[in-house]
Amino acid sequence: MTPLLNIRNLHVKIREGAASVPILRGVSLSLAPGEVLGLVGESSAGKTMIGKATLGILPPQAVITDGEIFFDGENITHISVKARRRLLGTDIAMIPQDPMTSLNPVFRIGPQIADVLRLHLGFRAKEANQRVLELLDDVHINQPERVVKLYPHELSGGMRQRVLIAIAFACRPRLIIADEPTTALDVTVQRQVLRLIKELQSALGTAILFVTHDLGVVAKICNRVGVIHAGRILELSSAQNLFKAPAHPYTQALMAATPRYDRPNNALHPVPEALVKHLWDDVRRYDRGDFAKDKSHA
Amino acid sequence: MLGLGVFLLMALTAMTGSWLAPHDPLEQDLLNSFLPPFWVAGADPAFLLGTDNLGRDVLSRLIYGTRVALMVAVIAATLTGMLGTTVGLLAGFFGGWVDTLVSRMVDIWMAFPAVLLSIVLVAVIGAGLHAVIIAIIVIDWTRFCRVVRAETMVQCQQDYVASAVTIGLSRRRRLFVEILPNILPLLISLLTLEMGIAVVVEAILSYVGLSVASDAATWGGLIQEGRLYVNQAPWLMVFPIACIIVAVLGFNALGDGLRSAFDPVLRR
Amino acid sequence: MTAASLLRRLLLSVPTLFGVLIINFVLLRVVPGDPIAMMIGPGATPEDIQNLRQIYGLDKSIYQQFLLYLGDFLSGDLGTSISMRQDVVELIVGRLPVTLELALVAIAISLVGIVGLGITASIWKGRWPEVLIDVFSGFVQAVPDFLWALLFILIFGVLWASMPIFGRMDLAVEFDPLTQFYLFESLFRGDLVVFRSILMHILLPALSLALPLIAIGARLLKSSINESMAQDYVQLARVKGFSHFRIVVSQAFPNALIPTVTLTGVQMTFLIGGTVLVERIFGYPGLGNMAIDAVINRDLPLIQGIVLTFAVMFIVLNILIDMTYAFLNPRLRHD
Repeated sequence: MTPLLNIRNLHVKIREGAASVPILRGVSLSLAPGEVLGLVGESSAGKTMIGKATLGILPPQAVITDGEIFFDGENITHISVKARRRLLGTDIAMIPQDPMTSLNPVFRIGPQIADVLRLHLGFRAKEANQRVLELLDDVHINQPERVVKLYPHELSGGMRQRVLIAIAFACRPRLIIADEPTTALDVTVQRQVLRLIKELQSALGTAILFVTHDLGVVAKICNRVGVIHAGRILELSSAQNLFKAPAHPYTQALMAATPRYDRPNNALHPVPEALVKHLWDDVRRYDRGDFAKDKSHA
Repeated sequence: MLGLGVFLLMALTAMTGSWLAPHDPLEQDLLNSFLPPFWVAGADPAFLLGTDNLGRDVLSRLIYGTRVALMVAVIAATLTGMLGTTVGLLAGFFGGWVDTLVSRMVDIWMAFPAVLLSIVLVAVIGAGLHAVIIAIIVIDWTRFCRVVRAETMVQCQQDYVASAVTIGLSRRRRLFVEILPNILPLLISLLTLEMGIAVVVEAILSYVGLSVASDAATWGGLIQEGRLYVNQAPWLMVFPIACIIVAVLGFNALGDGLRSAFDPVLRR
Repeated sequence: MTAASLLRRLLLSVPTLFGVLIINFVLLRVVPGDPIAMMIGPGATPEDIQNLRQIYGLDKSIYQQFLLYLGDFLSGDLGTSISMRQDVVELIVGRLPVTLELALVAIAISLVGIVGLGITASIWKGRWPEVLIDVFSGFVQAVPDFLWALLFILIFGVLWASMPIFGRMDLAVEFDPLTQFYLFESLFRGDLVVFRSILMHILLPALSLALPLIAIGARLLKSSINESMAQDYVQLARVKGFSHFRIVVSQAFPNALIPTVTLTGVQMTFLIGGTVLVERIFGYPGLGNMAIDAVINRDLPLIQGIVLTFAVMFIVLNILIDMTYAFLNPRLRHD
């Protein structure tokens, strides 16, 4: 089966004046239709950049210097703006990180969901409004008739995230990039939102690239997991395997660092300094170019 | 430094005006009315920039107008600056009810459009140069006050003021020896900006005939006379307009230049 | 904005208006020089002067004069013009539409200019249209506002004599108006010859008023749009598959309008104030032109009436701006 998303040796650099800083250092991964792939790592590990590169919304200073991204067999690394627009919203969608700022504050909820339907599916106003109500119902929002008339500031964070999930699923995309969709929510709401994403995902068979820094989230929702550090994937395996037998020392350290109630004395275990130093030595050697062959360091 | 050049040129023109001007600005010569400037055919080299409807020499009138413009600019801007700065310093330094009172007043002041306020003021005081100057002061003190107040508040937060308190400097010393020198560069650029504004306000009021007596030469008055004969003699309007633009841009450039020259931070 | 909050806003402007009345009254009572002496010839006897003082109420105490003034104001009587010997309210009613028409056309031109240039500069951010618009607005702002009217006269009246530079309409045009809103009336009547003449006359003064506002407003709108373009909801719109043009116009622009309206609102009051001078320069027979004549003639009742009219215009304008602001910002609409 051809993978839905296939990223090969992706390099992204951020230009700062004359200098440029590598953000992604040769990322490769593939995602089958209907699969949920988690990407975990510390902040600034580059996991969000993978999603943005796939969507083609990298910040202006960030440039893809090497590698390819294939969607459904088509190379979309450098496709035209027009061609990308046909893909976005219909085939590839996104669930953003911050529900508080991701809805346009001056428009009501209804039109913000309807516009994507009208743009891509050619719905007329009436049809679109009807479909919006169904979509809101799908994301378990009560009284959708009332909610469509509200403005974003009148909804709670959890409600807004549901609306954003409804937008993401509106055109039945084949791939959704979920960029830390639960980070900005409080814990109880987090769980509901995760369950909702999982529910819609399995009902519609959508593939999801799930970016997060939370291993607990990964365990609940993902089939496979990639562990990222400094723009490289250190380990990529099935979720079961990863949790049962983490291969890379960094993965082990990350798991040890996750606070858990079932562990005695609630102690926090930061990633050991020696390991961090070792990893960064690797990165530096890699950046100098003498690390090209030996990628599976673990 | 372009700004300084313009300023010195204006000052020189104003001071040596009576000697520099080739004619008496009020001398009429009806046989030689509407002479064009020197580069146009039919011009009289005795009247370099031509003559107006009464045959008065445009160049001489412009030179005498420079005197009025510069006088108003310097006097009005200085007085406006003094008033606004004093009030702003006090408001920023003392805070509390002084600040509240001043801020309220500035808000009310700013809500009233300047053109209308100046017309009312001139109506009250009566036309004349003193009215122009008073109008500028009354309207524009807020411009200084706002900026100086904000800057004083910023300076008061700085460590050097705190240390001045700890070594026991009196309030007055702190205000005038510590804070004032630090807002001086800002003040200078505001002052030159205000000079430009004063030139414009004087021109406006003399244009509508509310400044000095109507036969005296002012840039605004010259424009107004030129406006009447704009179809016969457009140059009558062009020269004073050019003078105003050069003066305003010159004052602004002077402000920028002085500011970077005085500000030890910007100078580096 | 609901009816209740509009009412509240109207009530709030009552003290403002009262303040204007007081200031207006006090300022013009401290005038040095005797306006009565000005209005009658040198041959008048002291009795004549005394009579006139009585007619105009100038013989009473300041306090009584103010109460009289207030009472007259409330009953819609602003007195009689000294120089024109006509009812002040009548004079103002005759001139106000002229100024309103000019101001409305100027505001319409500015809005079109601000929105057009602001959006254009944002769409082609960092490319030549933006650079061009920046240079334009920098240039416009460098020249003092009042000179633009004069420069337009030189450019369109002399250099390329394509536009009328004096008055409200051609003298040769026959027009028998019912109202003072010549422009709107001629259009409404479908009298295109008259309409064209009036439009040509209003264009340059309106443009002189609009130009500085456009320069400031376009720059402001552009930077507000650019700020909005960095927001998360714009990124989401991009991911929804909307075009850059549509994102700028329908996502960023409505948000950018909110700060732009607040800041250009202040500039609009300057535009209204600016009509005084522009009317003078273009010989446009509006309220402002009359105001300057009134000041030159020291016609106290007329000056008071005009100042009051302008004050009311500013108050109304501010209410309109507040309403627009509330309309644009849903966070303010419901409370």
